[in-house]
Amino acid sequence: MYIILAILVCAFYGFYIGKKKPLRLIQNKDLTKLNSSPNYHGYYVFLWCLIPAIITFLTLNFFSNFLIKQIVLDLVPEIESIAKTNIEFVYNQIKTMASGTADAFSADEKLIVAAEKYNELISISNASIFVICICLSSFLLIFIKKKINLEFPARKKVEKFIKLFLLICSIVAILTTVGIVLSLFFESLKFFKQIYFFDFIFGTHWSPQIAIREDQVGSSGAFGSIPVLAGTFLITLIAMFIAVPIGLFSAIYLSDYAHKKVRSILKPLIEVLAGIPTIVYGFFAALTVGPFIRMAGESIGLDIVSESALCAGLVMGIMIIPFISSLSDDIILAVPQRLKDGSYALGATKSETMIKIILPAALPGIVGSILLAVSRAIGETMIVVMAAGMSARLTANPFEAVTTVTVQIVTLLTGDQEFDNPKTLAAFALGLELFILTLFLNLIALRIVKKYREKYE
Amino acid sequence: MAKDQIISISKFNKLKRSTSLKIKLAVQNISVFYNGKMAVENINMNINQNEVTALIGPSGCGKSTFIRCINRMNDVIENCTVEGKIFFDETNIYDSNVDVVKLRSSIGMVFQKPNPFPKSIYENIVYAPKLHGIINSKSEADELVEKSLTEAGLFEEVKDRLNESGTGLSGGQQQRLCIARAIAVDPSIILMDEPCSSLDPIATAVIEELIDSLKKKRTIIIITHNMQQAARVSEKTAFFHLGKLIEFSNTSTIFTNPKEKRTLGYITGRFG
Amino acid sequence: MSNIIRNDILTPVSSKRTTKEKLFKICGLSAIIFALSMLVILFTTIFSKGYSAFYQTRIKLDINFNEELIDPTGAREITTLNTADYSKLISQSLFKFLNIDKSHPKSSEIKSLISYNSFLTLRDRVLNDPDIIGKTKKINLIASDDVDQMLKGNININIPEENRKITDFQIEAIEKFKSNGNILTVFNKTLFIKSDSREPEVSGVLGAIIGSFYCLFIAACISVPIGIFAAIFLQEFAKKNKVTDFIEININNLAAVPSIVFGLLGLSVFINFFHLPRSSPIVGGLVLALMSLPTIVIVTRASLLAVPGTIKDGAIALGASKMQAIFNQVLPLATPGICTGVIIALARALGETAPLLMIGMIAFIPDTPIAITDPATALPAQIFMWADHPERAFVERTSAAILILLSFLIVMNAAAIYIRHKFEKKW
Repeated sequence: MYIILAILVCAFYGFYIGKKKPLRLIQNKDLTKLNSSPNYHGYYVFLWCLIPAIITFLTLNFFSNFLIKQIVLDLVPEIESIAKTNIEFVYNQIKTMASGTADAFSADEKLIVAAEKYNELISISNASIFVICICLSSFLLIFIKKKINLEFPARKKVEKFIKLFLLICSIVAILTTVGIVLSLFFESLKFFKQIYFFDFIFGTHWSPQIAIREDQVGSSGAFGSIPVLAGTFLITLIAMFIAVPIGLFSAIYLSDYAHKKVRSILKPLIEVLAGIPTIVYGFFAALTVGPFIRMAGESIGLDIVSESALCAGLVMGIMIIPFISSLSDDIILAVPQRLKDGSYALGATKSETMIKIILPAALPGIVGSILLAVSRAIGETMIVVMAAGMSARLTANPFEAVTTVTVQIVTLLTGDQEFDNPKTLAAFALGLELFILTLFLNLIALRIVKKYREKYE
Repeated sequence: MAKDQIISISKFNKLKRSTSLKIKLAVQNISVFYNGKMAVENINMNINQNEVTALIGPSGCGKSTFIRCINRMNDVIENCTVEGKIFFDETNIYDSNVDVVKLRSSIGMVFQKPNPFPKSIYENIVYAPKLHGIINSKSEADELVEKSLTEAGLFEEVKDRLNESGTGLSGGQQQRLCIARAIAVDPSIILMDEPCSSLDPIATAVIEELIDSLKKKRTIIIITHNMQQAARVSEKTAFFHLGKLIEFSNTSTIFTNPKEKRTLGYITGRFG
Repeated sequence: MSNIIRNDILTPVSSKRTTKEKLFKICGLSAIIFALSMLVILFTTIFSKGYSAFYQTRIKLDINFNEELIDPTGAREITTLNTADYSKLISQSLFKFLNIDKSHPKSSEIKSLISYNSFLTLRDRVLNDPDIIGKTKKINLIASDDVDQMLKGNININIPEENRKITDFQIEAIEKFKSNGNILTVFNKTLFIKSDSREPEVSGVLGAIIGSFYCLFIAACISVPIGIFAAIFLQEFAKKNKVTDFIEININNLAAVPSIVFGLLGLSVFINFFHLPRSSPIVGGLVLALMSLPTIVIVTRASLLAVPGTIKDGAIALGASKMQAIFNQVLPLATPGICTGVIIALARALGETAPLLMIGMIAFIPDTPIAITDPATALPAQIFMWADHPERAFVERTSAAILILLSFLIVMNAAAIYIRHKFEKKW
């Protein structure tokens, strides 16, 4: 950490020098003679002192850590016999012992030699990196300072650097997508090496158990994802049954019938529904809605479990209402007033105008908003984890318990896991399926809404 | 100079005067308020049957607001209040027993910018008659479409493409479609808010001819910025300024010998 | 179809049309009423189940700090004081009050009236002030969760004894305590100053709140600068070509990717590849940062767009460079909008549970985290874990934790709305 501090000190000194020099060069304090304000000269030197040194520091640090690890582990007796997954643990043990904070439980006699070597190497590396970085910084400081003169375009160069920095920030956004795709893809690839691809996509039996020993009962692990997908779709369908009519009618009332003042109160209130964390909905579903539906079912002679698809779908539908109502409301308002005026002037009532003129005109936008809502429902996790079931069942009956893609991902990954187990890799395969599905829906929806907006603007 | 301009209007146009005896609309003390601010102040005028009445005046002086009182389109706007009475064939349209929907099927409106629905030409025309129960079968609908489009002078041009979208027509054709659409419900009054302002001169001429033939069966009130147009088509002209009705009389009088100084100033181009 | 009949504007249109119109309006209104009533039901349910967690039952006992039991040697050595059997002091006091002997067949039921961890309270008292040994003091000890729930009316005492968690003998004892004025109801500060525990009566949300705060802080530190700078680049400097279009589509899409996918990303990249510690706020913060990043970019772009172009043009006309105009003139004017959007994005991140589940923040963590690499949990994850526990007392605590989470969110959203109203200029 002192290295960073030292580099920073150097850089700040560089700023000071960089700023002073141009001021010194203009004897009569006439700032207009300079190409850029002295601050920029200062920034320029600052950046040159800071960035190369930091980069060198990080690179050297990384490599030295790598080297040290190799050397130190070589000193551990019988290193070849230790399992790959345990090496991290052993190395951590060495580090703890080296820092002197190990107690009787975590110290291991065999590792003392390694620990001592570790300390030795760390101090050498720290010292050398320190020297290298400081030398680099100082050298650059002197070299750059020489470059500064009256015509030096400091501002342009600094701004170029800032622009590059901004570009890098933008690229981080893509890196995220790339990271998601790559990580899902690679883990899924590992999965498909063990489980046949078409079995996964088209198989109708989902029972992800892997035998630990040959003779264990339940050793047949089936990884057909159809029942899981079916569960997702069933719950999403139920949710849409609730959210679409209520969302649309709310939007119609808000845009056409409500006074401005009333609308300004009601619209934010409905949007509160979207701001409630989904875990609260999940808890509500498990605690109140599930038992309520079960009791209601009993009273009319139906057998509904408390983890029914109906319960999860109902609560999910409530959560999605604001997605549809807000977007549809904006879309309906975007329909040009002249169409409404034309219809009213012909003697149509508000409802007739809405049903026959406005909604057909707004239809693409509304469809887009529904697709976005569907995508949200498919990816929803907490409500279904807490309110829906775990067993994959291929059914269209809303009164039964089904499971969804997101529930399975959570179940497979929480609990003991080893990383190359097909059970845990199945979660990544499901995640990939989910990502592709929602990506597809989002792209279509965004395209439709964009086209619709262009039509009316 | 002022005299010359008046002469030019009167020389190149055959100015008309009102000959009708029957009053279709009696406007009494109409005032309109937006958010408490007065937009139109105390209008009193009588519109005669089977005539064209033109409303002229500078931009923003309340002509559109006033005309929207006649078919109660101002009801649609929030924070807009209307005071006064308008008698349509002996009935005050602002009476609480009046059904606005019925009223608007008796008074048609054509807007500044043509606004055909994004449907086919056929559907544009039959939309309102279907709602009002005027037509009940396909044959009645076909008949009505042909009749309305013929009266609007559009039938020959579009008879082969009745199923194409109304928005695919040219500006002038769209406006005539809107007029045909308004005629389809057989209104006795047609309100026109600057119907030609977004059209080219040829389309404008076509519509002016159309107005001339329409007035045989119906009463027309037209807002226009174009004084020559007012002189061409109307029998009576009303001059509005800053929300007030300044002068209202025969078109020939307004354009040859206006009583008010402001009227003279407007028609000679001094302001507006 | 004559004019005369239809022009009679005093007769109303067909009742069918009027009814349709009325029905339509009623449908719209009922939809809104349904949505809002769901909101009300949600809040009322959670509130009614949770408010009782904010107070707690305590039993006032006369504890005799018997020197024989605690420190027979009198040496006052720390190890002796540490390892003395303080629970015996509690049982002695209980038996004395109820006039029973420890050989009584139901004496274990009496012992379980007081929270299991109470011996720690006594131990801490003695360690703080060893002079207390030999004296008798009135101490308010936390009652066990079954007693607490019974007094709050959550346990049905009318069902046969074998089927319930509290026995008749225990109920009698409680009545005796009550009539003597030894039952107190105090504000449940344990909920706020302690972390998770196996015993519901001493469990609290402190660790979860600190964990959430760390996560959110790290998420903000990463996503806010990167998001704002990325937005500035995309809005002001990027040329309109296929590459920037692609970046835009990317960002719009990322904003709609399910949160669980970000959790998977965190798991495979941050934990497996970079070997960052599992369950730590740094991984949680990174994942939440990636989730909030697209939203912040979109909001910043919208705010920059809302500033009229004339401001930038004016600055450039005076000789500023484009970058100076943007950073010195446009950005400050766009700041209220950006602040509002950032707060709302972070509020959403605060309530996210799914990605945190993936990176392991649902472990039982009884200690409060100190460094950002310590294992921690977050408030939504804590709620999730508590919701799974069968004890009645955890139901009310889950609801209370939800209320605490919701109040944070309300405060954050209110701040965002306030900033928007106070500082936003209508151009």
